[in-house]
Amino acid sequence: MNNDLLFDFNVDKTAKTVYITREFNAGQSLVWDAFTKAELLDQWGAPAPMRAKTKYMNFEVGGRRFYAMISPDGQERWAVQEFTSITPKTNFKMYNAFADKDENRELPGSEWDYNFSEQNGITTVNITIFNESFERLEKLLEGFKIGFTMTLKNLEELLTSLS
Amino acid sequence: MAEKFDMTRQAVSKHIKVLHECELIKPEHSGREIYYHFNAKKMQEFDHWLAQFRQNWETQFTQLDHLLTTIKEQATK
Repeated sequence: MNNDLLFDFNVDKTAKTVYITREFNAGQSLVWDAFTKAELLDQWGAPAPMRAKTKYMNFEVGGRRFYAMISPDGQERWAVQEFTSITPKTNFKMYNAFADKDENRELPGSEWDYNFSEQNGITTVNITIFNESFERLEKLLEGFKIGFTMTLKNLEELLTSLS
Repeated sequence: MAEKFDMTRQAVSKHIKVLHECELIKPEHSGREIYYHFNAKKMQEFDHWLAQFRQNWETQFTQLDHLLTTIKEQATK
């Protein structure tokens, strides 16, 4: 039903920036709510089978959202979003960083910039994610290494069960 | 190399260490010298990982599509 909605995903490695554009078949006001209200964010903010859980969220400049992505086996990955700029219904910016369960942030994080616009009942959301440091890219690669190791481990288990 | 990139030798060697750890470059020892080669296969794996990152976003946005439809239906009831 939504096959004609635009989805664009680009990574500029040298600028350390990710660009995402997506259209939604809903008004700007509703889409804005879906991105800025905890009770709605938790219903879509993690890719299944993961789920998102917001501990608290103060959507105001200087306010924070403290939330976790939870895997099916119950592992929690906490993060803190700090809102740095808000123009209702059209733009907000935040600083996102991973954290432990006690809200201690692991810096550096990344800067997120969201833009919303509507035309003929279709709302376009533009997201720019900027990773400030080389260390952050290191961390992404590190995450990749862990993921790759896990895949090998799964393969190992599969081979064991087959033999 | 440090001169070319306008950074200290320590900084260059730290960057190389990280790239090596991530296996994006491969060292080849030749006497006292070490030559580093670009590991295209590993970069491809990184691109594959990025594709998964993109897939995660696609999954989330599809979830949001469903949520928006549900909310709109409830509003018209």
